[in-house]
Amino acid sequence: MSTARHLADPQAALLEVTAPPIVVVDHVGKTYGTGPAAVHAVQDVSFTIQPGELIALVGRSGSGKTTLLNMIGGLDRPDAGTVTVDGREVSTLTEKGLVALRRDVVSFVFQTFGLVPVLSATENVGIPLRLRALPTDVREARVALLLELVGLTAHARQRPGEMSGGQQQRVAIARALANSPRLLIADEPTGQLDTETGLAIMALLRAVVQAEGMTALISTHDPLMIQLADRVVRLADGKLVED
Amino acid sequence: MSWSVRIMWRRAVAQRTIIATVLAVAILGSTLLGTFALLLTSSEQRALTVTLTRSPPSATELETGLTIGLNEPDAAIATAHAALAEVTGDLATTSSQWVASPPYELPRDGGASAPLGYLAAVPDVEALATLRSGTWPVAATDAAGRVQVTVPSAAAEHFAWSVGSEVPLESTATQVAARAVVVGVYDVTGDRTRWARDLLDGMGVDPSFPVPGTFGFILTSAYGPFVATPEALLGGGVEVASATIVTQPQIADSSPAALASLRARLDTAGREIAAAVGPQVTSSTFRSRLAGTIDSAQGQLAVTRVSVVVVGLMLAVLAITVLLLAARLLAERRATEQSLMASRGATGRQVLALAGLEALLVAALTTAVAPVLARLLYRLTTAQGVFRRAGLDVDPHLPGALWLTCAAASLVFAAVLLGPLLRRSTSVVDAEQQQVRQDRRGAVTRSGLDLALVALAAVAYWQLRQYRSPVLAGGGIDAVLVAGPALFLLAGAAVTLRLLPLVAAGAERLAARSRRLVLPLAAWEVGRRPGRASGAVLLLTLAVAVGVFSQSFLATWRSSQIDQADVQVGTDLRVDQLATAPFAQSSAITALQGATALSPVAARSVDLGAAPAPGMLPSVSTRADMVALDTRPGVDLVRGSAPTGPNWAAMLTTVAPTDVSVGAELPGTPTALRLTMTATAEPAAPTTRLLGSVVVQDARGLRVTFRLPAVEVDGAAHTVTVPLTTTDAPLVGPLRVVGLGSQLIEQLDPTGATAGQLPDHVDLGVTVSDLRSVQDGVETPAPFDPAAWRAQSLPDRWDPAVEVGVTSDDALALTTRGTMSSLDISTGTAGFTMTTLGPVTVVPVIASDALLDELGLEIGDRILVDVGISVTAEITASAPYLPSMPRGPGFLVDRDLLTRTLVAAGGTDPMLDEWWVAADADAAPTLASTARTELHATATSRYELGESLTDGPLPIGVQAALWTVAAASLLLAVAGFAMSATISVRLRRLEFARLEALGASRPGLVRAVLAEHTLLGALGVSAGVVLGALLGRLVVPLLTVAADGARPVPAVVVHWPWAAEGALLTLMVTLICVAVTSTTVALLRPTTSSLLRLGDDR
Repeated sequence: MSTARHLADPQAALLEVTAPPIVVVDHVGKTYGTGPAAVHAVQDVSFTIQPGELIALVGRSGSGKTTLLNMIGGLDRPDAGTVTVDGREVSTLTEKGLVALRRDVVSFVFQTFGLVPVLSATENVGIPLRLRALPTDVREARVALLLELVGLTAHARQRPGEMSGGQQQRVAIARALANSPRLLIADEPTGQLDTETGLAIMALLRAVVQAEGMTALISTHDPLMIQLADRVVRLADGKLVED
Repeated sequence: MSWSVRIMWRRAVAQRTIIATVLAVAILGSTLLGTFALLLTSSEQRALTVTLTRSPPSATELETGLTIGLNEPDAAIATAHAALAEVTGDLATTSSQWVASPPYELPRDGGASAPLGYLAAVPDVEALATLRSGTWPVAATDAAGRVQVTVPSAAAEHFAWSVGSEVPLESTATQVAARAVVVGVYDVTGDRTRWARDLLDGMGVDPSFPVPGTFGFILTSAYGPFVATPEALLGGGVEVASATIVTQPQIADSSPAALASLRARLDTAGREIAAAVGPQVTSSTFRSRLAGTIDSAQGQLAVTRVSVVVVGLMLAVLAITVLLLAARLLAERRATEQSLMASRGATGRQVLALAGLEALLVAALTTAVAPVLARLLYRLTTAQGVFRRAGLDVDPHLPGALWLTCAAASLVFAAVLLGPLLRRSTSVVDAEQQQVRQDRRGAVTRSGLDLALVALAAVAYWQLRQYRSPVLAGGGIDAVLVAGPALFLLAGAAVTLRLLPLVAAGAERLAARSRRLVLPLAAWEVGRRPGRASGAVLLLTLAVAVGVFSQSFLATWRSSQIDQADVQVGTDLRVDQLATAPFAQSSAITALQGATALSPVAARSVDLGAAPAPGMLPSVSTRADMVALDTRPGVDLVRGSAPTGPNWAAMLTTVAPTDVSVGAELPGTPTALRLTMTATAEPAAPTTRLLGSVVVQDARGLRVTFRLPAVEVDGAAHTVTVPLTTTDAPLVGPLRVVGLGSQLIEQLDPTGATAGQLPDHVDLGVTVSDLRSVQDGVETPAPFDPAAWRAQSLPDRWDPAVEVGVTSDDALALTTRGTMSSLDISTGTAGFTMTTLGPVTVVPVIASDALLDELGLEIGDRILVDVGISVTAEITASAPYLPSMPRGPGFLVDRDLLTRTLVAAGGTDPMLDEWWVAADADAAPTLASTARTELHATATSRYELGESLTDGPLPIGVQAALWTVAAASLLLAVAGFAMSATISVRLRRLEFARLEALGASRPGLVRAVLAEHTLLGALGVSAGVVLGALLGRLVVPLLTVAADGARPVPAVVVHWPWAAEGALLTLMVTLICVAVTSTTVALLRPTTSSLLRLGDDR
C-alpha cells in the first residue's frame, strides 16, 4: 500500500463516478463596486465538478478566476447564484459554517505560497492539524508523513525564507493536504515558479490528488499545466466560455 | 509640488491609520510634557503669588520706624513713605502709619514718681480693640480745645476716668502742658502681633516703666496708648515722638519680574531708607520679613520643582519610548517599501529626506496642537478640588515656555522617528532574510547598552545618596542628580528585556506541546519577532514602573509631610499669644468645645550646660529648645510617630511624675482668697518687711504665683486678700493652694535709701493661717492638710522647720522658722518656701541626639537648665527628634516636675507659653478658628500644617506632577499597546487571511493576538511592578524631603498604596485589553478574499 493510499480518507475510496457533484456552481455572479465604476468580476457562471476530478480553471489575468475560487472556497460570497460544495450551499453558510468548510472540506494552495514566514516547514504544515486540535503525537506523525510525501523531510526545520520557491510551494501543498480535504483549490500554484519547477509541482498535485482521492480545482494560464487536467473550465471577462 | 511631497502625501493617505497613530502618540507625549512645563512655569509663579498673598500681613509688610525727636514729623513721615515707595517699585501698595507722642506725666497717684501716659494715632483701631464705653475720637480736639482720647481700661480703672474726664498732661520732653478729654474706654482684643508696634505691646499698662532721663533707675507706671486722631498728633496739639509707617505691597497678580525686582531691592532697603530719612529724624529702623518670606517660598518651590522635574524626566523617557516603538513599527511597516525604493535607485539621502519631511510635518502638527491641549489638560487638572483650593485654577494661556517645550519635544520625537532609518540600508532580499530568523536579544541587549545604563544609574543613585537631595543651595537643581531616577528607570526597564528571550523560549516550548493554534501563534510571534515584542514590553515595563512609583511616591510624600507636620506641631493644636492672665487663659481654653485633652506648656529656648563636678561652678555652654508638658500616662496630647514606636507614650513615661501632689483646696469657685500672715523676728528687725506669695494651682495643673502685699514683721496678724481673676469667666477648679513664699526684704525710704541698720542674723518666724476661699463676697475656710507641707529655705543653705498648729479659731496654720543673714536680706534673697508639691531633686528629661552631641553628653548625665532658676536635670532618654522639636538641640521635660522645682525654689514663672490641645480632625478646625477669632490667639493645627505641606500652593505641584504622570503612564501604555496591536495586526493581515483560508476562525485569531499581548503584558506588568517597587524603595526616600529641602523628620517610611496601585494596574490592563481587542477586531474585519486578492501588497 502506497503512502498516499494510506493517507486517504476512507470515505473517499467509496466515491463512485455516479456520486453527486462535489461542487455545483449555479448562475454565480460577483460585482465589485457600484454604478459606472462597477466591475463585474464573475457573471452568470455555472458548472459542476465531480469527485476525483482535476479541473483546470483557465483564463487571462482579470478574467475572474481568483474571485470564482474564493467563492467556491467560502472566502467570498456571490452576489448572484449559488455555490454548493460537498452538499453545503456556501453562500448561505454562517461564519461558523464557513470556518468548518475551510477547515474540513476545502483547502487552498496560493500563488505566493501563503506560508507563515516565522514558522518552520513542520510548523506550517501542522497549522491545519492544530485547527482540528489533533493530539500532538498524531499531528507530529502526520506532518512528518506529509513532508516525506512532498520530499522535504530534510528541510523540516527550515523557515520559508530559507527555502526555494518550489520547496515553499511543496510545503504549501503538504499543508493543504494535512486535513485530507475533499476539495483542493489552488490559485496559480506555479505562477511564481519556473517552468520546470512548475511542472514538478503540477505533477505532485496530480499525484497526490489521485492518491488521496480528492478533487482539485486549479487556476492557471499555463498551457503545459492545462494538459495535466481532467477538464478545463475557461473564463473570459468573468463569463464561462468553455467547459 | 515636488515628487517627495507627492509621494509623502500619497503614502500618508494610503497609510493613514499608522500615520494617525504616530501623530496621536506624538501629540499625547508633547501635550503631557507641555503640561509639565506649565507646572514648572505658570503654576510656580501662581503658587508664589498665592502664597505671598495668603501670608499674614506681618510676613509681607514693610515697616519703617522713625524716632522724630525735635524734628518736623510731617516731612519725616512723607520722606519715609516716599522711600518705601521706592522699595516697592511698581507694585500697588496700601500704607498706614502709627504716630505716637512722647510720654506725658499724668496726675500723681501717690507713687514716688508721676505715672506716665502717651497718645497715639492707631490705624484701624476698631479692629484691634473693643470699646468698653464712649466712642473713638472723631476730631483732634473738642470745643474746649482739649485733645480727644480713648483710653485703655487699665488707665480708666486706675484713675477712675470715664467719658468726659479731663486729663492734664505735661510733656516729659519739653514740659509743655496739654489737656485731653476722655471720649471712650477700650479693651485690647485684636491681633496681638499688630500691637507689637505699641510702646506697651498693647498691654495698656506697664507698672515698671523707666522714667525718661533716669536711665532706667527710676521706674513708674505707664499707661497707653491714649488713642487720638492723626490730626491731633500731626496738627501740633500734641508732640510727636515716633512714627511707624507700614507699607503692604499688593503681590497678587504681580509679574515675576516685579517680584524679583522687589526682592532685590529689599536687600538694600534698610540702608536706602535710613539715608533718605536720616536728616529728618533722630534715628530710623527698617523691618520686613518679606525677603525671608519670598526666599522661603522660593526655596519650597525649588523643592517642588525637583520632584516635578524628576517625574517629568520619567515621563519624557516614557513618551520617547512610545515614540521609539512607533518609529520602529513604522520602519518595519516600510522596510519593504524602502528597500524597494533603494533597489529602484533611490539614494539613502532621498529616502531619509522623504522620511525627514514626514517627520517634520508630524513635528509641526504636534507643535501646533500640543500647546493647546496642554493648556486644556492643565486647566482640567487645576480645576480639581485640591488644586482649586490651592488657588492654581487660573488660565495659564499659552506662554512661550509651553510653545518651546512642545516644539522641543516634537523635534525630539521627529528625530526619534528618523532613528530607525539611519541604519544601513539593505536590499529587498537582505531585508527579507533578516526577518527570517531575528536575534532574540534586542539591539539594546546585544550592544550592552542596558548594562551601561545600569552603571550610569548606579553612579547617579550613589551621588543622590551622597548629596541627599538634588536641590542646590540657592534653589537650583543639580541636573545629574535630578536625572538619576529617570536613568534608574530606563536602566531597569532595559535590563528587563534580557528576560524576554527566556520567557519566549519557555512559551515556545509550551506552544510546541499544545494541540491548538491560538497559544502557539502568540508564542511564535513573541519568540520569533522579538523586536516588536521587546518594544511593547519595554513600554509596559516603563509605564507600570512609573505608575507604581508615582503612587508610592505620592503616598509616601503625603504621609511624610503629614508626619513632619505632626512632629513640628507636636500635638493636634497649639494655641499661643494669648494676652490674658494665666488663669484667664486656662478658663478660655477650657471653654473651647471639642478638645479631648489640653495642657499648659512651656516651649522656649533656654540656657543650659553640663552639671559641674563637685566644687566647680556651672558654665552655660549652649542654648536649647525646651518643651515642658504634661507627660502623665493617659494624657493623650502628643502626636506624631516616635523614633521608637508609633507613639510617644512609652518614651514619655521615662520623664513622667510617679506621684500626685495635692494642696489646700479652695472650696467653690473662688474669685479671690484670703489669708492671715504673722511674722516675727528675733532680734527685732524694724527695717524689714515680709513679702509673701501664694501659689495657686487650677485643674489644668497651672501654677500661678500671686504676690501678697508686704507686711510688717511685727508679730501682728495681717489679713490679706488676693484676687485670683479680673474677668468674669469662672476659673477652672478645683483650685488648690500648693505653695507659700515668704521673703524678708529691707525696707527703703521714699528716696530709695535704706531705713536703718540690719542685725547680722535674724531668726524669722512666719505663720500663715486662716486660709479662706472668697466667692461673691462669701468666705469659706480652706483647711491645710498638716502632713502635706514641707519647707525650704531661700537660699537653700539650711533646713527650716515647719510647724503645723491650730489657731484660736480652729483653722490650721503653717509656721516656718529659720535664721537668715543680713547679706541675704539686703540682697532680697532671704526667705522660705512651703509647698505641698512632692520633692524633686533632679528633673528627668528626654534629650535630642543633637543636644547630646553638642554637649558631649550621654544618657544618665546631668545638665543645668536655666529657667529663671537653675534646675538640675538628668537625661533619662534620648531621641533623634522630639515633639515640636524636629531638629537641633532640645529636650522634653514634664511640666509638673519642672514647676515643682520652681515653686520650691521660689520661682514665680508659671511656665506657660502656650496650650496644647488634643482634638480630632473634625473638631480641630473649629477649635483653631475659635481660638483665633474669639481669643485673638495664634493657633497652629497639625491638620492645617499637614494640609498646607501637602495641598498648599507651593507643594501642590508635586501632587499635580505625580497624578499627571500616573495618568500619562496609563494613557501611554494603552496608546502604545493599541499602536503595537494595530501595526502588528496590519503587518500580519495577509498572514491572518491565509490562516482564515486554512480554517482558522476570526475569533480564534483575535484570541491569538490577545494571548500574544497578554504574554507581553504579563512580562511587562511583572517587571514594571518590580522595577516600580525598587524605585519606590530606593529613590522615594531620597526625593521626599522637607519643605526647605532638608532631610525630613521623622525619617521617611515608604508607603505602598496597594489599593491605588492595584486600581491603576487593573485599569491599565483592562484598557489595554479593550484597546487591543477592539483594534484587532476592527482590523480583521475586512474580508479575507479582498486581502488575499491584494496579495503581498500590504
